[in-house]
Amino acid sequence: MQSFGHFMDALTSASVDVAALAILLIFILPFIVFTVRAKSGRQFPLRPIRTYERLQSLVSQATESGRPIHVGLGSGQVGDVATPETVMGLTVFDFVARHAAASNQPILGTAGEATVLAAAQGVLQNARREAGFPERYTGRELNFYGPDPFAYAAGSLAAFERREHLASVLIGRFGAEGLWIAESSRDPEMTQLGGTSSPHAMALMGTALDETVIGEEIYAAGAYLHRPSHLGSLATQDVVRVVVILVILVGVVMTLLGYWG
Amino acid sequence: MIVCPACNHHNQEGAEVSSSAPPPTPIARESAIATGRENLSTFGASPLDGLDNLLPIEPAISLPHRPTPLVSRQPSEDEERAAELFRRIVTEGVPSPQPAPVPMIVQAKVWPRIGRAALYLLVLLAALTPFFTGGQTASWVRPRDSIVAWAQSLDALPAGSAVLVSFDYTPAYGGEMNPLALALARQLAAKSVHMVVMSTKPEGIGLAEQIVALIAQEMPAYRYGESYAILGYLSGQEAGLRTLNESVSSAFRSDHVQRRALEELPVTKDLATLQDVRCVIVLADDNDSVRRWIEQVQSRSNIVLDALVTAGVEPLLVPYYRSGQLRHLMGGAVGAAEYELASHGRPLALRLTDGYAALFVLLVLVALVTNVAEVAAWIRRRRQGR
Amino acid sequence: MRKALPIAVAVLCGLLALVDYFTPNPQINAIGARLVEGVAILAAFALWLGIVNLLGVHARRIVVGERSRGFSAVLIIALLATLAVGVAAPASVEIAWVFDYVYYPLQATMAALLAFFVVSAAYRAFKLRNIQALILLVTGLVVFLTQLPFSSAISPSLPVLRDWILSVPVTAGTRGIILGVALGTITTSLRILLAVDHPYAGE
Repeated sequence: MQSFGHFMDALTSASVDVAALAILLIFILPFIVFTVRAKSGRQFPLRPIRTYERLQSLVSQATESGRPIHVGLGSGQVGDVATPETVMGLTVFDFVARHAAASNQPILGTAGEATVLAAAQGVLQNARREAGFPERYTGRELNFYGPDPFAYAAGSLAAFERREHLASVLIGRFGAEGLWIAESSRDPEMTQLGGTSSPHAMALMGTALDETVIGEEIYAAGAYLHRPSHLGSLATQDVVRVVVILVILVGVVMTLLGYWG
Repeated sequence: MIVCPACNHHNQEGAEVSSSAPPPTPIARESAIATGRENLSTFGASPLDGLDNLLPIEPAISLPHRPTPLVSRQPSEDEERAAELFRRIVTEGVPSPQPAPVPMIVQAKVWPRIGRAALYLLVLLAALTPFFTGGQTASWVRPRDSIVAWAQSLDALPAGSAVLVSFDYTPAYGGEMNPLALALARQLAAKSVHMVVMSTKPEGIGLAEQIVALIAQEMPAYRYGESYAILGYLSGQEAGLRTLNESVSSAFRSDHVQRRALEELPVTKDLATLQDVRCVIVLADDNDSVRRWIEQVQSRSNIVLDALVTAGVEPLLVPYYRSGQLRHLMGGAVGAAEYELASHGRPLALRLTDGYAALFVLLVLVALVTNVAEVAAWIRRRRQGR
Repeated sequence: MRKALPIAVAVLCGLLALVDYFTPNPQINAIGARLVEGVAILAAFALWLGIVNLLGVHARRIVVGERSRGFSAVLIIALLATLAVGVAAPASVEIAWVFDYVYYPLQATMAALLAFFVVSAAYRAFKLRNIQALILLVTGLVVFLTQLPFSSAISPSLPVLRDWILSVPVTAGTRGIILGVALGTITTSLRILLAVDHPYAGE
């Protein structure tokens, strides 16, 4: 057993990051298998996440009421550590934008970072074009306030005041300014949903939002909003999570028994 | 002469279709169409031949299109019942077991607004408490062992050794981080330890300039270029830190203030890599900044890394502290107060400890009031329900 | 072709950056470094796009005569003035003045407002509607008590309790969340790397 520890030490000190490569390979195979299955139409059972259920009903209400939904994409940048959660924010924005475009309704998107603004513009343009109303795309539906997070918060609040909104969805990279936006724009007639992966910001925003996604639930947005390509990756996450749990349990037992550590 | 098929009258001058003539039956209509066709075929070569006040093709056009009258019939019993029911639904109101809801006039909710204003006023008073009480609780502060140990480790740095300090926080958290930064800078300056200052955030350099300017005022012997230098803003986040890890001069060609090459400044002329500094101290307001330093610098070159962060971020970095990737971790204004005591520095954060006490009392009060209000509302609803 | 080209470029660049991380080959490392530098440069240029959007939105509000046109005018003037000073005289006394007397106080003020929002959010969160709210209330008050600078004067076991809370339940919870976020990050990145999801190409 000690030789196993020596083996692990030798492995992790190699010039190639073997541990990282092994983790990547553990991900790739189930990812490919589950993605192929998901794209072929296989259904995966999903536990209900209240935030996404409400979002789906809200886009229908927006169509009927004509009141737009605001999607706040946060202050993360596409190209830094916040890229994955920013991409999930864009996924949610894409979902809301497609529904708005299909019913020829307005939408409001705010971005705290210029790369996110550019990506969101592309998403909205595409949604309007695929719905058959490319001329309805105006740059005024997407606003940039930043790059400072508090400047983004102040700008988002100013954008709220200009028009009555049905709901506000804050999803992406948020810090303490998320609490400011959520708390200042509280309105009994406006639903607030959202989430971020930062535990610090999540704790603050959770007290002010009506429904919150916690931790890695933000990465499940695509799967819950009817994107088959995301179902495969969600299944992969769950499988690898089980593997990690087993490894931790084995490690704890072996350490307690004195073989490791 | 054309015979009118409806009334069998010969069409004469001024002839018109008799209004008293009965509507043609389907058989009569067919024969009229046939007659019309016959009459058309008797015309000569010219289409105007025989035209006498009536267009010859009129029957061929109009007769087939005259509507046949509806045959009236009596409705069946089912149809009569359905019609009666429809009439009643439309004309009669629906009986309701409950009384019609009375529209509620929404009155301005005064008490919640007053309550919120009172709450905000109490928060303001709690924050201003130190100005009224003058730091009564400062004498109760006892620095933790870990903070005393860190202050002693900085005390043990030899004069003339260099420390890299990265100001990675924004002005938003200046109120919480500036006392920490000042206490650190004062201790380093008092020990004549060389401070090499940089930032991975554009705003950090402005904050660094404020702090070192204060130190320079307090200690004129602590001079720029000889005792401390500001390298500037390091762009590129991970890429920038990776470059810094390889070589300081690759990341910074010159200093930020005098725009001189690093080799020309006494404090940086021997600074080739990060191994030439005793430790790296990161002041940050988010865990990502510290993680970047750990991942791109500490894990690759095994330097000594200390983190001074805001109180909200401190719990997120405890795993790195426990694993030894951070030599020291200290958080917020609380840590600043204890550090000022441990380093025998000027009390800045110490004077504000009364505010924490007031805020704690306020939070307990908030918890009590909100639950008392909730219970009172519940009792009121029960009474109204009865 | 319209979709295939950006997807191919994105996949190629992503794989290059990934290979760069795993291999010590100098040529691949150089390409990887250029790609990472390119991201930083692109982000800087993207800022111009944001500035144009900001100017366009607010200029339109002034031209149309909206109610908030005064604020829009202030924003445009402040933006252009700061840009002019920063470009003409970087690291100067003037830009330092803007930082010390405009930017710093504004930022500090906005952060200070959070204290009010936290307390009003606490007023709602501390209502004892269920067992979770009770746990939240007790934990919140205990943690705040241990965080007080003079907690050791109240009781010598409070600093010990603080260290235990930070070391055990907080670390455990944080590690769990970090692990989960890491799993999500890896799968999201794989989706984009393997072109399963390509938001940049219109899907």
